[in-house]
Amino acid sequence: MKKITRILSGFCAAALMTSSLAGCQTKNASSDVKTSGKEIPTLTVWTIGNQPKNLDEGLAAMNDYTAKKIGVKINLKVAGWGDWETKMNQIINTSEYFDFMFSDNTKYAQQVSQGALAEITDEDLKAVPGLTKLIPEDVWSGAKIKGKLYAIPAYKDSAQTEYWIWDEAIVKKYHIDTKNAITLKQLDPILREIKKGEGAKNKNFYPFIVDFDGVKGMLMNYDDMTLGLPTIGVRVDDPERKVVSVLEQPEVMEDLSILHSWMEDGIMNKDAAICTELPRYRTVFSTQAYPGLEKSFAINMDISDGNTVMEKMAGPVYTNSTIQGSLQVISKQSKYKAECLKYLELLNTDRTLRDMWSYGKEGVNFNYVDKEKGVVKRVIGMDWGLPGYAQGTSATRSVDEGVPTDQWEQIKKLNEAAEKSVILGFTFDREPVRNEVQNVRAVWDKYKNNVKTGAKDPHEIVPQVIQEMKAAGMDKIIAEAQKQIDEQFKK
Amino acid sequence: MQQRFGRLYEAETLLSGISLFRLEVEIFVGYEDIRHGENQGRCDCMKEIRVEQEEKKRTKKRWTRDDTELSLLALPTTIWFLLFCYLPMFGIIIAFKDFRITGGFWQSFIESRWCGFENFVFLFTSDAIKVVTRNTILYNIVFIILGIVVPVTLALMIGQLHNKRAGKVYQTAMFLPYFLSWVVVSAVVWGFLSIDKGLVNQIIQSHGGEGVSWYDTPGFWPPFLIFMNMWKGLGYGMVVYLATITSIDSTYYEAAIIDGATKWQQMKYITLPLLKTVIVMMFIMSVGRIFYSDFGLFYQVPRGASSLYNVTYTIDVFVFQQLKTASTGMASAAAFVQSVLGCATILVTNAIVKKFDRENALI
Amino acid sequence: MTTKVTYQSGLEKFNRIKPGTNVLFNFIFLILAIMCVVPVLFVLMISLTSEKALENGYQFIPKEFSFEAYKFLAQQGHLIFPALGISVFVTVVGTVIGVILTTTLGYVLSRREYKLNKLLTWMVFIPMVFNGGMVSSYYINTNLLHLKDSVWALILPIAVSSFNVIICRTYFRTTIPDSVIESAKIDGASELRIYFRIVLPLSLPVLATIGLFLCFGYWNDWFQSMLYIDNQRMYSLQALLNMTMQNVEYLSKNRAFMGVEAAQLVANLPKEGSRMAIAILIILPIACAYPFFQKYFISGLTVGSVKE
Repeated sequence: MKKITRILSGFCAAALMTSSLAGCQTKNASSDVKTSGKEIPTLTVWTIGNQPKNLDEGLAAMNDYTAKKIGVKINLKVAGWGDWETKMNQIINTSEYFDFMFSDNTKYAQQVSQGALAEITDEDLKAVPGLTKLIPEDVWSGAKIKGKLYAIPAYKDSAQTEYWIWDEAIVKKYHIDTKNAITLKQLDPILREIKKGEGAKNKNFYPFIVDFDGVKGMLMNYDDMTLGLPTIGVRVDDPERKVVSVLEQPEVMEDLSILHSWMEDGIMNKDAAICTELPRYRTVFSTQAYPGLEKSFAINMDISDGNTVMEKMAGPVYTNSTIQGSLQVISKQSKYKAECLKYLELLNTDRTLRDMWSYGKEGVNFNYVDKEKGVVKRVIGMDWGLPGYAQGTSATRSVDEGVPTDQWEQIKKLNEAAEKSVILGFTFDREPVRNEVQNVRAVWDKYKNNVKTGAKDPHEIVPQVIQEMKAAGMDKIIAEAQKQIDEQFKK
Repeated sequence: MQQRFGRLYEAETLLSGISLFRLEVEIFVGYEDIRHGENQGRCDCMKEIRVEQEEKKRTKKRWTRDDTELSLLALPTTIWFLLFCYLPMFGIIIAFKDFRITGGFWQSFIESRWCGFENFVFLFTSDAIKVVTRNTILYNIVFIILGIVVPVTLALMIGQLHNKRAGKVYQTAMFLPYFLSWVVVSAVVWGFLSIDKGLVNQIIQSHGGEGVSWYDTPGFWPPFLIFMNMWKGLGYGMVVYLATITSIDSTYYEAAIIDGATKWQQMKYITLPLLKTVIVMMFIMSVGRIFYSDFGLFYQVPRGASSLYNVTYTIDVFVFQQLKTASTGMASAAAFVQSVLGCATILVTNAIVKKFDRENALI
Repeated sequence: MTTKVTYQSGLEKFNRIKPGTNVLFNFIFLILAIMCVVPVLFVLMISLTSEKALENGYQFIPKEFSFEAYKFLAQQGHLIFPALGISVFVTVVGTVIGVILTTTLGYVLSRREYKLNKLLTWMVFIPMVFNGGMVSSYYINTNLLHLKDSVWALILPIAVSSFNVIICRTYFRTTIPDSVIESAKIDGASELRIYFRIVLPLSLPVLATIGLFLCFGYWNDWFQSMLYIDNQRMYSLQALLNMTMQNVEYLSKNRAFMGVEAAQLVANLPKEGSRMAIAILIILPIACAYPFFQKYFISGLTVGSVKE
């Protein structure tokens, strides 16, 4: 009797395992809900951000709306910021089913070369005139790879414009002429003066603080062909489209030397190379922006009773990388390609849907202050958490209370005035040199923090880096890139 | 637990008298000698044992009911292994294919072009690979040696303390670092070593010295990382050895004490030999993982500082960085190489151990 | 909780180390213990410091005491409590399943006369060095076994490790004398009976050890959540902490293309103090569980009474 119970318990353990496996069914990737005779497909969608507290509620509201308008529903899944890269890699690599997802310039080219994305042909676009009307030709061409389109770009501040953001109080105190404080060279004497003044009481006061990524926008004049290696690029205004080694360009070396001198003299934070988190308040820094954000920055910097001064540093510039900053890509295996496009059209042209994606459920996460003009007020503590830039255009998106309502017009003006990179529309096909790309990247990973922040003397370290990269095959990559560029642009 | 054992002895009467007697003989004559089957000639029961063993060998070939029952016992775990370890093994083939998506996973897998060793090229042409391999192996050699010597010593020591409760407290305290994830540890290390906000530099500066840029001093890091690894794994490493020491029959010690053995002799002749099997097992397994490293330690703690690359990058970190931009095939190739190297080392080590001590080899 | 620490008529006392050596040992352990406890205390202190004071660096004694980190966490309770629940469930269930699976196979492998011993040993040994890689494991677990987005994805794939099985096997071989098993056999007991009634009760140290390893493994795991769980509400506690820490890094790196929104998003992230508070939250339950396991292998260290 005892023996039987022992055998039974052994079987129970096995049964426990197998039943638990059987008992968990995958959520049906796309379930079809039949309502009033017509099938409403539910698309599987991935986006990035912090999962909202009331995701289900907000999603239900969205689906009600879209089901009525275009007969499509979505099952929206949110990947956290830190997880997004790994999760999307897994999904793409294992051909897991999805309909459309957010992608960006770091992943787009790779996903295309792996063959995971569906091509969006001109035929497809004919069915969504709303999109073609909204998004200008330049932006479309920036999202094309070898002339073929695989994504719907988000038309927002797609041209990169870097601004210097100053603490207004400091500007007034030291009578800084911000219009002539654009290049690092011009900033040099100003920062030294500030350091002398403010640094008298606090030895650890740094007028200029950067993190391991260095000065944002410093290498903006070079289009990196979405390779993600800042050391290889084409000058955006070079009519000959010559692929060069960026670090060796004289103006770049000069800037790096200035950064290095700042670090030595205590103008810049000494731990820049390993700094991963920036303090909220910085005297002056550079970032992507557009006009009208002075007060927003002031609030973020904890000087809400003061203000900031914004001075244009560089740009606006259109490159493939900037345009590919936010894309929606459709899976090659999606069964609902046309429906995806229809949904994306609605998302980009319909204010109600766009606001639901950005701000959540009306009445719960936000409220309309003025629906006509497009102004919302978020409910404190119920922040939706999904970033607007990763979803679609800013054109139809309402703005927060306090932000000028003509913000989109301003952004659009910047976009239209943007300088187009000479290689707009060209994305480098790295397959022929993929081993070299890997190895050069390995070298760059080794040195990038020290180089970009000027932590080491550029005159010493840059030649070393270049030498190692050449040994890893940098010249071959440059030659290959030049070949592809010449081929594509020789008309 | 010990009480149960005692009751067992009482319950087994006549028939087990022989086995009890045999047990006592084993203790007094010398555990090792019997296991090596040497003829000590000290006692008749020795011959009895050998005869029994030979009989056992003869009945070895037939499948018995015992075997069925043991198989049943092993069944659930075997299923687990098949499902979670052996089924995914086909993934090794991905390393040899140029993986492209043409449809579902299987379709893509089958249709992808076979490309032989192409995916491996980037691993072996990179200069970085030599540096990271050297780092991995050197660090692991130190970890293996220290990872056995230190926990064993401490495990032996902790049992000798007069105050047992103090021993428990110490052991619990030594376990605490293990609970902290490397992410948190790296933040704490930052708190100590940051150039102008860190505690260490603040102390130096308050005594009039110049703060040291720790994250810029490569020489400091190998000893520091070794220390961090030991610090985190100390409590954990001790556990296995403590568990074994606990189950050593105290009659061994009593007999030895009666014979007048000192503490040293007790350790040398009783504890260590009985620990030997466990130590050898841990050693072989550690060696088998000589090409792997603790990712958290080498990636999170140095915070990606460029200056420290040459002394802190290991194979796992290198592969991780590469994989962010490499293709699926290349990723599988990297994992495959690590597996093969690990397999080779473990087999070689096992073979060497087998030469010296057949009983304790892993397989 | 104290177990059988009975001194036997002076024999044990006679066998103790010299008092001088005892002091030395105590001193060494004290140092080691302090080195281990101090960083944990440090983390606790950071979590109790106000955010403003933290910007100037970490202090051991906080310049400004504040509970704001924990208040922030309380607000995030909707995130943390489910994660805590998931972690506890996964740890408890996983440890039980893992211990059962590991010890049964370990025992079977320790029996030299078992016909399939060599085969099964190889079966256990190979995955220790070879694995199919993340891609194929993910595919199998998702498509074949349908574990995606289910709590079992956090439990089953890491329930057994070859390492633990080998430890079990070695333990059984060295501490269960063949004679005990033989005498039971002579009495007519079947293998199963021997295992459950004789061997298991004798193996509490190894059960505790494996249980401990599994417990900690499950509690600290974040990778499984990240890979297999779509719904962030179902993340384990450690996965939540990891994601939070990585969020900061990601946002710093990619700020260029996110524009102004980046600043707002960063402003909403948990700050340094809160992250340390989460770390403390992760340590507490498991630190409390530890003594439960400890009594099985520290008690009766030199005094393991056989004869009662």
